[in-house]
Amino acid sequence: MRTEERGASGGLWPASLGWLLVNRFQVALYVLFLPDVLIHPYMIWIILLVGVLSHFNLRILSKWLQTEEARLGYEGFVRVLGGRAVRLLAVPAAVVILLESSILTLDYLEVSHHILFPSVSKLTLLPLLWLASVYLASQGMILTGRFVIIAFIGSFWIMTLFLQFFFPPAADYAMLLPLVPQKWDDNIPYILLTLWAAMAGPQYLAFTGSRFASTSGMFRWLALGNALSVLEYVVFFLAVTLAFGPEYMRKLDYPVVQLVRYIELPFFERLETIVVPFHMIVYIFLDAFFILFLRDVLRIAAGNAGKAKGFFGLAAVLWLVFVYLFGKYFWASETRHLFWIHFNSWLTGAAYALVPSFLALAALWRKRKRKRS
Amino acid sequence: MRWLMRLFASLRNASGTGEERGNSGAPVRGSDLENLKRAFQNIHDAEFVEIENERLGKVTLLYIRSLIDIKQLQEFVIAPLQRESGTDLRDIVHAAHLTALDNSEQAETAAFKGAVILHAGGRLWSVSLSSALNRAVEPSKQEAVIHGPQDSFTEQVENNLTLIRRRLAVSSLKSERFLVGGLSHTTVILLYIENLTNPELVRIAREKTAAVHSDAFFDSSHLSQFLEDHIHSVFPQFQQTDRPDAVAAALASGKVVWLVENTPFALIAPITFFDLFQSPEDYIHRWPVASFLRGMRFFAFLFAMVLTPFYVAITMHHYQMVPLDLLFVVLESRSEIPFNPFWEALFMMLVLEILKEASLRMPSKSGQTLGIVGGIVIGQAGVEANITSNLLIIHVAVTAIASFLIPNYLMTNSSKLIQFGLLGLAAWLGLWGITLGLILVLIHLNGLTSLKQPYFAPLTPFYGMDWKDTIVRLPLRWMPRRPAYLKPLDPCRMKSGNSRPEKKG
Repeated sequence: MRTEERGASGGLWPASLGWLLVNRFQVALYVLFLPDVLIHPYMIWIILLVGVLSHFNLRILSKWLQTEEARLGYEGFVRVLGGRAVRLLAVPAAVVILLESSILTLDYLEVSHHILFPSVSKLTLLPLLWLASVYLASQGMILTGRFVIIAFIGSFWIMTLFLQFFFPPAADYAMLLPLVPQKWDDNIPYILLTLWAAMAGPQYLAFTGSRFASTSGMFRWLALGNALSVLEYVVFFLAVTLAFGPEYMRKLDYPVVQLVRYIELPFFERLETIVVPFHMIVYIFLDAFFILFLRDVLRIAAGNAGKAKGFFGLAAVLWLVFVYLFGKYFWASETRHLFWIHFNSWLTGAAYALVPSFLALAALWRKRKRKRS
Repeated sequence: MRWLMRLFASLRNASGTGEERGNSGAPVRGSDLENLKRAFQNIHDAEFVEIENERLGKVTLLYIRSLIDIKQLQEFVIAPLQRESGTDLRDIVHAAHLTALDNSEQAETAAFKGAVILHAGGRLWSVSLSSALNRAVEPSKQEAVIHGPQDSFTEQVENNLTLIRRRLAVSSLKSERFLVGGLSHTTVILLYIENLTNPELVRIAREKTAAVHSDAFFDSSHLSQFLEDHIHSVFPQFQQTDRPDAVAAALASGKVVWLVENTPFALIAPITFFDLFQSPEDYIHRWPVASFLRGMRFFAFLFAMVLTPFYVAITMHHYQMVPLDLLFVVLESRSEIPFNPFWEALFMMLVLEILKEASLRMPSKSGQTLGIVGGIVIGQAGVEANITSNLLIIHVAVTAIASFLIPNYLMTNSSKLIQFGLLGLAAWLGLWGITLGLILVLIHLNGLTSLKQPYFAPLTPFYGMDWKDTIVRLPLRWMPRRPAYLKPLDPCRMKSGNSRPEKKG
């Protein structure tokens, strides 16, 4: 066990934390800022279909997490893949972490800029987000993982705001038709990819096996988190469909956020001003995780994986510099945003599909090899 | 015959068998007595009395007159020494606290704790006869309750221990004594229930207390600053209470308690953030009422922190959030104010803090004047002079009242500091800034520990069963288990101690 984990009061993660981790990893990017690919009401079936596929993928992930190799952490990866391969894979892993966290963070800052502070540069908010993430990450992986409970409570309530749109007069149930398509959209492969990417995120848990106190019954918890994510996507999609209808949704940026504007309370209106800042808690949690993963892959790449300390400062600074430069030079225009969002769908979708299967198969192969010998 | 006894005594002084050393302290060298006398020089109320005893010979008494009960000294020490004879001091002085001492340092400390030092037969002894300089047991001013026990601790640590032992009359209630402070020699008593409290907690508490090094401790809060895990945090990591029932309840749930001499406030640890919102009255009210009141306290804590920053954020950055009718009220209220809402709020919050501090320090009879000056003159005149708006006065007043709902005084002060931080963030980045500030507070709480145990339990880490007594307080019958985050050796609180009728005859 690492020093930071020994120092963490309250012990390692229970398996039950898995559902919260899966859920917040999945819904971070897409739940509020669901790309406008989902337009037709029948696409609700696609959400459910992708949810079922993700369910099977989580089954593979839980199999890997229950292996001895996963529980051993770095040593386990070395056993499965070999020391040199692990070290070589650490470099592309660092690039993936930096790219994914940059796109995720800049997309959130873009929305904050668009909704709250049109006159303030989005990169002004970046150091503040970074500061909070670094503060959380400095507490170590165990405490950062535990923070998911707070992140969940701090962001899940947003869904309840949308329940009023399920009832008339706000809801027009005619908008839900046709639920069975007469003609499928030409864009179905891209929609499938985007939704698969929307279910991605739990692949990072494949590297946290040593942080769980026990992984027995893990699949049950992972599946619960996945089901909750599907429910959230369905609720948000149905709410915007019932309120706006497919035609108007086509013309809107961030339809979920736009819908919040229609909520009126006796004292306040325009609740997106509250919803967007509160959603930040999920980003801070995820960015802290990314910084810690980055620290770990930097250690492995530098051949210092056995050491319990070091590389945190480097990882934190590297993260900030990378995201800042990425935002400044590669995120400047609307067309580039779309490109990078599209790129992110491919990147995270591929990672979610490949990482659990690859690791589970590698562990299985090693087990068989050991049996033969 | 007497000369023979003296000779025998002096021979015994010179030799000093190992058995004697073990049982009743090492024989004291002549230089130790001299050291002791030197230490008592220039202390006007230090007394040296020599009494000739028939069997023991010359017995020297050393004491500080102002610290001891002279009547008891006469009755239990001087008179027996003059009248009775015996080969051992213990046969003559029948005081309950007659203790053999090893050296002059021990004797010096004991003398300043209210003991009489006796030098007899080449040995040093102490008899505790401290004067009963003590106030009566009164109701707690800090945590007053309408119903429930009305006693509270005093400055006498032994009396405080009595109040606890009366509530927990079991031999498993252990008390370990420490002397801390190079100058103050403050007695600190560490309390825990053996076979119930997690031994790891006791070990940490013992080690931390033994490692305390400072000159003087005059209050338990001084000690807590040496014991706490995070010295820079604004949140108290020890609960301070002067209520014996609160201390007994904490011990019975598996916590550790420190009693500190000369202060009525005991320290309880480990605690959680949620413990600081609990009041002893919660367990006296009906559970739905107690749950409602507890919920109100949490709400008030949040309200006290964010209400004024929220007003500043809305008026500076998010006018669009205010419904039109309400917006007219806000604009009208602020139309004549020459400052922006941040400076206006900062000014009023500082004035409020000054008034609060002044009300604590002023004599009670001047309190009414302060209320008039603060409430009417500053508030009314401030609005009329267009320095502040009516609306802000309402916000600040509600904030002040809300802050008094928090039962823990230290927590009230923590919320004040956080409020100022949030005010700055609200002025800079509106609601985004307030949310960022609150998230930073949550991250801080997530990492905080009290006696190495998680401070934000039962939320992070999550202990589902502990939620029965956190934000709500469910019926006591539904709480058969002790708090899980304390990892008590005996987690069940309802398996033993069934009440039974007393049998007479």
